[in-house]
Amino acid sequence: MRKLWFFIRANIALLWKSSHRVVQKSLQALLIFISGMKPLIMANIDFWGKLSKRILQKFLKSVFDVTVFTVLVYIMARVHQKIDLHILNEDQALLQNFIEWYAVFYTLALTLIISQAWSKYNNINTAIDREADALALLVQTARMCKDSRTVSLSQGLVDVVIDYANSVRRLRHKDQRTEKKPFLQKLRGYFIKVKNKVRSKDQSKVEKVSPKAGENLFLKMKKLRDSVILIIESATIAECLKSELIRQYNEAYDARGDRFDLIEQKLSFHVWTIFIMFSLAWLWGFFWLEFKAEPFKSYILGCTIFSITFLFYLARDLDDPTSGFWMMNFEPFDHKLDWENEHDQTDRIQ
Amino acid sequence: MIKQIEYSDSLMSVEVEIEQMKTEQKIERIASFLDPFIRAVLLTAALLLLSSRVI
Repeated sequence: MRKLWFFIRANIALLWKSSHRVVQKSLQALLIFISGMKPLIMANIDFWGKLSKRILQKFLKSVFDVTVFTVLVYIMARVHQKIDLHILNEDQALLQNFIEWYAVFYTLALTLIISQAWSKYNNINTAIDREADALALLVQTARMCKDSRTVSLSQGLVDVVIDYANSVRRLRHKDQRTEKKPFLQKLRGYFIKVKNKVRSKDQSKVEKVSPKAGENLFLKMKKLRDSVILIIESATIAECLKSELIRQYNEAYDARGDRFDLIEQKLSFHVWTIFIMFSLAWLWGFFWLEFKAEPFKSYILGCTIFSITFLFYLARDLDDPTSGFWMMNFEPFDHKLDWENEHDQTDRIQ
Repeated sequence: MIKQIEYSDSLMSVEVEIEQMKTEQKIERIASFLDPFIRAVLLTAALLLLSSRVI
């Protein structure tokens, strides 16, 4: 064993000495970089672990997708061979023209799809911004109601707004229009309820039923409306403040509704099918082209396939704002109001 | 006083949950940023291999 280790070390040393100076310097720089990054990685080991796991999950999913697509292309290639279509050299110029013409048509279709998805993504973020703005203004207007008889009502409204906003911040992209639980989650809920009934004598063993994702913000919105109504019914507040409160509540409610309407508006299955068919039709022209140099053909094919695939997944990512890189941005909820400090804690001590 | 402590505790737990969610979102975004590249490279490699062998 020691001999083997000695042999490996000797060979590595020999390789090191015989390697180029640039390679040696690059390897040294890489080692210094890794050793410098080590404390940073170790400090956030949990984050890096979760990130690696997520990347691996995505990789495995993409391997599956790629396999399915490759099998599809393989079948098409076999059919192509069976039909034995040969293009005459005279037709090559015609084929080149067809590829150029199709590229214009394809680019137009692709631009429409991507711009549609992009504008939807922007509109969703605008709706979130509008909602946060309306809530912030609602809090500020409620703070203007300083009459001694309504101060507790306005404080109640502020509390409800903060509770709602914190729930949105906590749920973020998992926020739903209404409480729609998946079947397995429902099943788990029933199972826990039954288990809790059996164990009800021993309170320490009772499990919590409501998971975070099932939190219904629609009910919190109703609570917010009730708080606004309570203030409006108070005769001591100026009419202009009342109308402002109603307007801002309606704006927040409307923006929330718009957000979910836009999330639900997805490009239809037909659009994606036609997009894939267009891509395959365009790509097939390249396979028929005659090249004198094989590497040149690989280069052109590689660039085309890479671009088509990349744009396809980009458009799909943009179309679904609840996941992926282009995810809904809830930063306005974090920054528009300092939600924690909005609570007047001195009121609570009383 | 007790009410204030309870209240600040609940705010702390909310903030912790918000931070966790933000981290989760950050992880999802980084992983999704790499995703189209991985898919595009894999598919290009697979189709080029196929084109050299079959077509």
